[in-house]
Parts: sequence; structure tokens; C-alpha cells
Amino acid sequence: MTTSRRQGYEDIVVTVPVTVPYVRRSNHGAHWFVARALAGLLEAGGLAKSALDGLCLSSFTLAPDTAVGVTQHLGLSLRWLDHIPMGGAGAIVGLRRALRAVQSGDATVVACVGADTNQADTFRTTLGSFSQFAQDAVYPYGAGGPNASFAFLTAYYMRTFGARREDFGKLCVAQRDNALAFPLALFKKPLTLQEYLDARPVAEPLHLFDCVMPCAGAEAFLVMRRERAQDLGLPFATVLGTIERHNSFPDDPIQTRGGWVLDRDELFAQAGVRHADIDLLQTYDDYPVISVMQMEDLGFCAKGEGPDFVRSHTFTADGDFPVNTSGGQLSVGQAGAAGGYLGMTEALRQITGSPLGAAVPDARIALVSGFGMINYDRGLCCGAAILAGRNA
Amino acid sequence: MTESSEEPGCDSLVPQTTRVPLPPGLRSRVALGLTAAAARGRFELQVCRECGAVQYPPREACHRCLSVLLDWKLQDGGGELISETMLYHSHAEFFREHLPLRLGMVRLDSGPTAIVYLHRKVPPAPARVKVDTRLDKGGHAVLVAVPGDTTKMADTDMADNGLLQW
Repeated sequence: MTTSRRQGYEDIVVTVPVTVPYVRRSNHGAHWFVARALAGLLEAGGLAKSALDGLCLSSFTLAPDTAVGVTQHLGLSLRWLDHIPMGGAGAIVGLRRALRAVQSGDATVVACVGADTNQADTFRTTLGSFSQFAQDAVYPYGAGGPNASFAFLTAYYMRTFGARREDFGKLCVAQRDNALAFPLALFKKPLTLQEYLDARPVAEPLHLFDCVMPCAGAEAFLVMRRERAQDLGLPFATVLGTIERHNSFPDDPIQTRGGWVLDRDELFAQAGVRHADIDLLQTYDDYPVISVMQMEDLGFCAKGEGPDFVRSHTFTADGDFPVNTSGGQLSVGQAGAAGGYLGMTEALRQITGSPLGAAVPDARIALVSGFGMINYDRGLCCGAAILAGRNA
Repeated sequence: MTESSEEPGCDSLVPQTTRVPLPPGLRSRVALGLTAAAARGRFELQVCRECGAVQYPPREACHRCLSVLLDWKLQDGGGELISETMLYHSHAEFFREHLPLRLGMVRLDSGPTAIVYLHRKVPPAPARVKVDTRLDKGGHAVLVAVPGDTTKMADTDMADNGLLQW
């Protein structure tokens, strides 16, 4: 496969991580959460609404609108607009699009937003029409949604690589510990490994605490030139490298790896860092098995060594391998497409020295990973970005 | 001719008709080919006329060569159960009285991976299975997997729990 040398992002920065606090259910439409996110960006960024000339939006619950409808709904006049329907890869892909837009001069300030509501029936209705293949060949079989899909992947992974429920439980418990310090997490009670193991089955081998709780909320950040951020006095992060890949191993009978495998060498080469330089990892964690898969496929350990890697590391913010330091979706909640943004805003806060919860000591370089869209039997969109804080 | 009761006020005494929940019935037009074959007792998948690739889920073009010439052809249904789950939670009302449901992921010998209802006699994965179609209670085709050495599908009893039509 030919690869091209990737141009860097030297003078473009990421700044102003914003979270619209999550709620279990909301009667507001998705536009409300987009509006709150944008208002938060402008306020924290010290920008007038008119300064925003680009928007990159991810949301599952805007229908019948897309990002286009949002511009009129919220009175935004833009010269650059993108809608990224890639679920858990939305923040990575959105970041990539926004970086190039600003770098090329097509836009000067781009807001990247993941936002979704969760009305009484939102989750169920979203599932039934998630994709053509899901509608035709998955949903009619018990309508289990992503729980069933990830149950297949988890069962296969456990059988093939010797992972045990305790391994996944260790990750979930560590993330809950992280969430207890994170004020915006919906889960506020400690979780013990025994409680994890004793939870009711949802789709074996998945049990209750392997599954995220759908909720409403938004996450967002701004992309602009470095000088602009400096003029505004904003703490920012630079982007050392990024990758994305879609439908990466179509001939694998079942998913045991994602597209990160194909691109991780380029990612680290572009970033000019080694794995040991990464101070914190934010995985896309709708189920713990996919977090373990990301640790493997991003090269922190070899394929199949994930279970041993989990057993030999600690994942709390003060641990030897901090992962999902806000608690991740498993303990903060999954606000639809905002779930793909959760790791990005958390990483930005950590490496710019402004964590809302527990701080990773001396955090300078973060790897944020995205994974999205179980179109049929596997997740199709993979992406990752390596970001550096001001002191890196 | 049925005689109807004309007694005033009788309507309120007649029990409300209970709406019978059905399994999810939305399908793309192209996926109805599976149902059309299943209604004739046949398990058919699309096969590319240009390159021979077998397609599943049903689609508009060949995933290998992009040809749009796809013909529904009889399948022998042989495959390997590569993973399974027991589903305890459903988002659709119909399934709630049928839980837990045993579901499988099967790698068909012809290539595609299929999500199927799994017969209770199929041993744990990995296991040889035979995939066939049935009509569900809504009249749409679904795939079922029975033990690989099953010779007469009629001997299997997947209909007796009310999940599928016979």
C-alpha cells in the first residue's frame, strides 16, 4: 500500500474544551445542546458569535435536520460547514477536517461539536433505523442494539485471547474511580469488582456495567491558528499527528482489530513521539473490549496481549497508564455523538493543566482514539490523534 | 353472517382489542429478496454475476467488484458458528416475552458473516452449523442456524416458542 507523507499542523491549535453537562433524559431537541455548546465555546473563548466562521457537527438526533438546518436554527452565517455522521470517531474526524480548513484558510475559527438529546424514545428509535444493514440483518434478531453486537465481539475476544470478565471489570472499576472525581459524571457511586461481576446479564458475556448509559449532552472545542489563541489568551494544545480509517479489514470474519493497526506507525512517525511519551490515553469505551482492542491496535501491546496488559497496569489518573481519566462513557454517560468527543475534551483539559477532575501528573502528551458506527457486525470508523499541551 | 349485538352501551363491555406486537418489520426493498425466497422455502443470497462473490446482508452492488448484477441463488447454508450471545434485553416490545434469546454470528462457507437465531441444540462456538431461513411472526425472513449435521430442518423445533412461523 502506498502511503503519502502527511503534512503537519504546526500553526493550528485546539482550544476551549466545553462540556454541556449530561442529563439522563431531556425534552430539549438536539439543537438546544448544540446551542449550549456553541454559547459555551464563545463565552470561554472570548469570541463574538460572528467570529465563528466554521462548524463541524456530529449528532444522531437532529433529524430531520443536518448541520445545514442548524445554521439557520441558530442564526449562524458560516463559510465552512461539515456534518460528520461517524459516531465515536466524530471528534477525531471532525478535528482532522477542521485543522485542514483552518490551515488552508478556508475558515479561521471552527467549532467542533458533538451533541445529542435523549428524549423518552430517542435511543430505541435511533437503533431501528441506524443503518440499512442493521435494519435488515441485525435489528430483526432480538433488537438488542449495540449490546448484542458487542457481545459477539467480546465473547470471541475472550475465547480467542483468554480475556476474563475480571479484566474488563478492572478497566470499568478504574474508570469509575476516575469518574468519582469528575464533577460532570452521571455515575457518582463507587463500583467494586464484585459488584461488576455480580451485575445482571444484558447480552452474555456483557453485564450491566459493561454497557454505557445513553443520556443527553454535548462536548465541543475550537480550532484556530496559534496566534489567534495567543491573542485571546487561551490555553491550547497542538496536534502532532492524526489518522483515520474506514472499513479497514472487511475480510476478517469477526472484528478483532481496527484500522489503527494500519496507520499507527504513521501516526507516531508524524507526531515524532514514542509510545512511552504518551502520558494519557483516551479510548472510545462504549464497551471495555473495544478499549482493550485500542490498546493493542495502537501498539501499546501486541494483539492478544491486551488481557495481560490490563492485568499489569493501573488505569486511574494517578496510575501507571492513565486511561479515560474523566471516567469515560462507561461512567460519565454516553450522550450520543458527544461520546466520541468525551475523550478529546478531557485530554485537552489534562494537557493544558485544567482538568475538571483528577489530574494526571505532569500530563503533556495525550493520545485520543475514536471508534464508531456498528453498521452491521463491526465498527467501521477508526481514528486517533496525538496532542501536546503547551509545555510539551 | 354474524349477528351483531345492538344493545346500547354494550361497546364499553367489549374487551379492548389487544394490539399484538410484531418483530421489527422495516426492510429495505432489496432485502425483501430474502423473504421472497424464504416464502418458497428456499435460502437464497445474492451472488455476483461478474465475480461470483456471495453477498450478505442484501445490497445493491457487489462488495468485491461493484457489479450491480446480483442474482438470488440457492445456498447450502453450511457455516461455522464463530460467536454467540444470550440476549437478556431487547429494545422491541415483541421480543420481551421471548427473552432470553440465543443469537449467533456465523461465518458462512460461502464468505459472508451472518447474525442468526441459534437453535438450542447447537453446541457452543466454535461449531459447525447449517443456516436456513424462516419467516418471523411479522412475515419477514430471518436466518436460523441448527446443528451442522441436521438433515431434516423440519425436525427442528424453533417454532414452538412462538418466535417464528413454521
